[in-house]
Amino acid sequence: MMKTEHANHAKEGTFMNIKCKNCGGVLEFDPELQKMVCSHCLSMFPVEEATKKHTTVFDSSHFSPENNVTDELMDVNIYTCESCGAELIINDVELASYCVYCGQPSIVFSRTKKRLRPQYIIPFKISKNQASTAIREKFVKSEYLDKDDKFYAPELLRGIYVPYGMFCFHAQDEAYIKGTPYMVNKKQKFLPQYYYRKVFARIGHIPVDASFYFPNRSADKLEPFLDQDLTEFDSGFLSGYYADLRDEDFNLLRSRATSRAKKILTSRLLTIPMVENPVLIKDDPQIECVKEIYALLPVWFMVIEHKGEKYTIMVNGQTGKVVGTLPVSYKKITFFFIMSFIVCFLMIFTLSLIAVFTGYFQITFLAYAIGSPFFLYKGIKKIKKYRRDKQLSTSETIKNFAKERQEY
Amino acid sequence: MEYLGYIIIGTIVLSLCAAFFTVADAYTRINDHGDFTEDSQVYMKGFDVLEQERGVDPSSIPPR
Repeated sequence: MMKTEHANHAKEGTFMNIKCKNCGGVLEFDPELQKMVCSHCLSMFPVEEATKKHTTVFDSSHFSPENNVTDELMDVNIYTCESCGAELIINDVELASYCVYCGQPSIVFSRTKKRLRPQYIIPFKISKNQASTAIREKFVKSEYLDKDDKFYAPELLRGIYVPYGMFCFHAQDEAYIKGTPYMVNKKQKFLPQYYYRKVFARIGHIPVDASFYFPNRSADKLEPFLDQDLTEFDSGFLSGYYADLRDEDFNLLRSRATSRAKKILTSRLLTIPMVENPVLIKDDPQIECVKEIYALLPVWFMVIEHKGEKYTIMVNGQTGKVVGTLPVSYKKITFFFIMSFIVCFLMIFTLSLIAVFTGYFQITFLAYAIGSPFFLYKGIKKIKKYRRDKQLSTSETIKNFAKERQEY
Repeated sequence: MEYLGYIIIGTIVLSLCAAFFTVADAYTRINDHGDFTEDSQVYMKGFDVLEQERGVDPSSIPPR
């Protein structure tokens, strides 16, 4: 069945390059100008105009898929680039890509048109330069990075449109909440009271990542994606970037979005003016999904290598938020640790002597007994968090998602 | 000065723990992923309180 489907796609497959009407060069979408720009003659066109009037659709015979015969090759389509004659390998869900040899942007037009065409897109708002600056800022700020490592190759940045499902909900809830009335005069004490609230909420465009290959935790950390920039899908926005199609079931995505909508509703429900420490006693949420859309959202990816380990740094292509864990220099950490130890030792020793000489030696020993495990516990907790985040940045899954397409 | 030995040992232990915390804290602050909380109100487009009552009798609350 799958084989037949792939074979059909293969037959219908056409590629599209968006050509400049002035010189015939390839147009690419520019995030700063929000226009299609010709890389040869620098002509600019609005996206709709460029895609409607100046599109060259190549016949599938020029970009013909081959080798969908064996089971091993079922998820991979091989195309021949018309520009340089090289073979293009595109996985089953990739929507837009480059020729790995000549860098010609190419779009698998048959799939955007026929089967999994996204309804909306948030075009890149952050340009490659802006993303590069944002990452560089993070690198420069890092105290634990060697000077030489603070410089990386910005050409490794890749813009990828990641598929998302976006869900809107209408929610109604009746809840009983226990809370303490807030008093300006803290000396006055109020006993906890019970509150009844009946509310109605509209929760809009919760994004849920719809790519099987893109880790959900990474997708969550890239948020928020704001719906103000959502625009109807136009294949012109893909020119110059990579894009994937969705490959996760919408029912699964809806259930994830519903669970998030419930958390958003509860959090807001517990925000009662002039009430402290609210606790939800009972509620009955009715959450209805009123709209769901399939959209492509912009993300910049950069994979860097540090002492044999690969790190993936991401930038939200709409807001410029940088997500990623940086490599560290153990020499710098050791130096920082020794310096901190010397400063702490001098301060604590001085305070201890003062306390002992003034007759408060019990307090000093109490401080040792409580302070040491407290700092140790907090420190271990932080290191554990760092390790979890580092795992996310160095995982094979995220690396493969970004890396496979950046080697040309 | 009979406590000097204890003070030095206590100070060393506390300083080591404090230095460890300082390094770990700086480490996580730099690498903060900008965690986005699942209950963020960014996606809340409208919220209407239809009814609200204060001082409800707890015994009148229906069981879960």
